Amino acid sequence: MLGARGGVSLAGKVRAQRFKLHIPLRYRVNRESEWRKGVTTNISCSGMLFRGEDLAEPGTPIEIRLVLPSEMTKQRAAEVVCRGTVMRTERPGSNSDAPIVATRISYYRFVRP
Amino acid sequence: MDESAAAIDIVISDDHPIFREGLRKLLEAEPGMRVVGEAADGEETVKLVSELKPKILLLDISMPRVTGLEALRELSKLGTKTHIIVLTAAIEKEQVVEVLQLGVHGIVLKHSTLQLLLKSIRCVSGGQYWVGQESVSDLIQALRRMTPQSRTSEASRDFGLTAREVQVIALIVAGYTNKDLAQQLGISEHTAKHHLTNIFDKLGVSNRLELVLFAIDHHLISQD
Repeated sequence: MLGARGGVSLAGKVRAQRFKLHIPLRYRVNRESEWRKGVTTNISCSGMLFRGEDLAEPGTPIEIRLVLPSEMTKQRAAEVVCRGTVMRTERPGSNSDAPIVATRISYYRFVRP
Repeated sequence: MDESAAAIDIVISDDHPIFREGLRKLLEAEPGMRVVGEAADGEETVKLVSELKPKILLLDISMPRVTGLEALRELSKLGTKTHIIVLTAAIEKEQVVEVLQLGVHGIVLKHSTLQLLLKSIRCVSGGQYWVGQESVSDLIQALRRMTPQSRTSEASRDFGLTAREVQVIALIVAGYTNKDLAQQLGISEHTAKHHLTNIFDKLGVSNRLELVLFAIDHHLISQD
């Protein structure tokens, strides 16, 4: 389903394949100006689990920018802008671990550099 | 023996009228060859070949509007019995493999001699294959890239992806829209969508993001 600005709305998408990939990302919650860094633990086209810098309240709107690998395409890295909602967050098991954030993706679009 | 019955019927498909006319005259001067039609683009080519069912189609793959490659794909789908010789100024290495996969019997570059072209027509009309010297080199290089040493090609082969489909996936990972990738590959947007649909079917993915994740996870595109 095409959304505004050529993006894709994922309403009704079921049975998405899940991939254990470590893709670097930036994210921000509630449209704040500050972007935080993270990396995915696993991801599908309808949601992702990532390690981030902070805990976030479930239900909070979240915007995530995935940085796609450029070495595969010999071109500057493209980004996927994802919008969705925080579903849950987990405190780190130890001080050295980053918090885990689970999100649902409801919309995405690709951005070329 | 009826001479016309033994003649090799030929259709010339090229967007340059002067080239077509010149080639027609050269071929018709040759005993046993008869030019039965001329087409200026891919669409016209498919129509003419379907109607006239010539023994040989001399096809330029880089024509405007509906390209020769698109015509080739269409003719391949239709299961044409016409033997096709790609007669082109240049052909990419990957395209050599692709056109052969689509059922082409011959590849001749336009800078070849007339004698070579005539020889290729006779050879191909007899059911054999003809690949020019430069194309053989390209073919070998393209086949080498598909050897099992490459995890990428292994993975793409496991899913039955063509070289062109792998190119399309690489451009999707690079963030290209259908319009941009069509422009990049010199194909129509319709063909780009067609490639994507085939890729989605082969990989069992349902959208671009899922395709990109799948491609990264399965190493479907190469770094070289």
